[in-house]
Amino acid sequence: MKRIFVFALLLSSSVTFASYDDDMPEVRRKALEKQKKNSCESTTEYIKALEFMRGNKELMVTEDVARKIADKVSEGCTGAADRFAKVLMMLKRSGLSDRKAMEMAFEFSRLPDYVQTNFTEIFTKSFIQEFFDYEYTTALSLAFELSKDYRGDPVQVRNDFLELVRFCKDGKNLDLPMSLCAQYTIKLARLSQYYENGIRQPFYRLYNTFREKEEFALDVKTSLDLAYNVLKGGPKAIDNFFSAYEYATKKDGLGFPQDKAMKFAVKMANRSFVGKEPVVIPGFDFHQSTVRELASESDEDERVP
Amino acid sequence: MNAFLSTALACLFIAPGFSWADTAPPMKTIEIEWEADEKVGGYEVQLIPEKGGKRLRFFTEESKLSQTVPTGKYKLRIRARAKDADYFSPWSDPVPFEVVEKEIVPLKPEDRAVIAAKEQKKQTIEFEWMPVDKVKEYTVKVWTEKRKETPWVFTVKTNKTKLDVPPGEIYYWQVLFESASGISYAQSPTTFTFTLLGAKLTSPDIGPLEINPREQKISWHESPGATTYQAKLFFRHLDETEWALSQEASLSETTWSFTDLKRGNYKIEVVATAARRTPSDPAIAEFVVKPSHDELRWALQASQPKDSAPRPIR
Repeated sequence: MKRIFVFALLLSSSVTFASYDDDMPEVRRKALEKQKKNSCESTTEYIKALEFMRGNKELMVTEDVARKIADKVSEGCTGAADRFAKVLMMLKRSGLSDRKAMEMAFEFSRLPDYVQTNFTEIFTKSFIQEFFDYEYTTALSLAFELSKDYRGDPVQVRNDFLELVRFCKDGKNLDLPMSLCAQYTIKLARLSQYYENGIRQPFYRLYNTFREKEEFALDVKTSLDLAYNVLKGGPKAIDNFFSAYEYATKKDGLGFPQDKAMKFAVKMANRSFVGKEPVVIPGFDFHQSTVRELASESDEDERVP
Repeated sequence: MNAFLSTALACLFIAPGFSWADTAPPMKTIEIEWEADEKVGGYEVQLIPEKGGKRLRFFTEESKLSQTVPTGKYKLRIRARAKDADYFSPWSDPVPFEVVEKEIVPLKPEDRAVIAAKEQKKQTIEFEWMPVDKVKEYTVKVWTEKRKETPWVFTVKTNKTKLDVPPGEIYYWQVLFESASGISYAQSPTTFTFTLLGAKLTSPDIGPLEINPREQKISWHESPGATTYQAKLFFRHLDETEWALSQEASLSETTWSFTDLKRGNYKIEVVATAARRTPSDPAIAEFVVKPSHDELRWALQASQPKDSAPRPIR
């Protein structure tokens, strides 16, 4: 009897604990996670920003202005000083006025790290002569598009972009002017948002098939065009393209010649989704939900000149 | 006496040989000539200033007089002196006259004008000056340094004339005039000048531009006839719209090189010039000096703020 009682007690206790683990801790864990995510090292950011302004010889600002800037930067939560400094120095070095560079640095100081990283990486590669050598306005709008205005997974699009830039720059057999390759890179990077793991792998698969496989053996430009036209149909488009092509070329299928079969396959590939566009796959940490709401906090008297 | 006096009176102007106080009227040389009378031994000429003051008296044995007098209005009278006796005839009726400062005022081309020639070999220059009263004709003399000994000289009845001259020279010109009475006078007229520039130089053709982050070399093709190039470099930040002058230079070569220009937008203007030629229209080119990849990477690394924040108190 005593044994039974102890067993019953243990059973009841375990049931109680199991119930707590399943419900309350989950809510608590989420809240703790959220709290951690939303906590800001504001003092650290203030000090970092101020010390940066004081110590940088390129920035000719008075102590008073430096303090106001630091104050504003500290609103941007953890990492704001780093983001501010990186964007400011990159844009200043690129040839922007102090005023504009500062304005944009403030903007990016309030956005997550990966948005700022996308911006600096994409602007750099688009603007400088060694890569795409675009005009400032074009490079800037592209960098905005693929950073703060981007709807898909920012990490994937950055990796896609950098990988495709490398493909353009190092592609010895590509025999394609950099400006044309840049156009394809941008077009392809814009499709990245429809692909769970980015566009680079599906692109290489298609491009290499079109170039290498005997039945295609297409030139560089046609391969790039065709790859883009298929990929814009979304992740299912590749399968649809190849199966449509295979069926179209078969004698007991449609019995089309190659060019007609290709057109048919592209048409099928572009019907791989419903709606206006394939579904956009956002990143794990979609930044627009984590951006601090700063408008209500801004102090009118503490505006940075 | 009055008759010959009135017809032979003339005055002529010579540049003042000495300076007077500001209030003193300028001095001019007058020449007066009258009909001679062989029976007389000499003449006394009197100039009576209209505004009063000391009368001017001159004695001469000839029937003419050349004297320097202050400008102004006078009454002139002459009387003859007997040959062997100190006896004078009655004074002639006074003749009013004015000693005025008459001079040539150039209208076309203006003195020290710089004129751009429209033609390659010869350019017609129109000369015009303020007309002078009672002038019978003008003598125009035009010369250059090369043609100092063989100037162009021609006579005209009006106050304007034309002359075809080759461009690319500095020209000097004078106008002398003869009175309506037909008397020519020794003159020291003012010399005017103008520069007739040769035909406009062609704009230099800018290119190639060798722009990289470290060195910037701007070249242009030579403009025929140009000896120097006036080059201006303007700068603006990438986000700005207004240009600001950054550097300027006068170059004899057709390249302008820089090292490590500040990053941003640039505009270069080059004007071809040559002595006595019309400068070319400016040739304009724009370029951007961008940072290198390494430079931006370095900027990103250097921008890392130091973490000097105090640690939280635990």
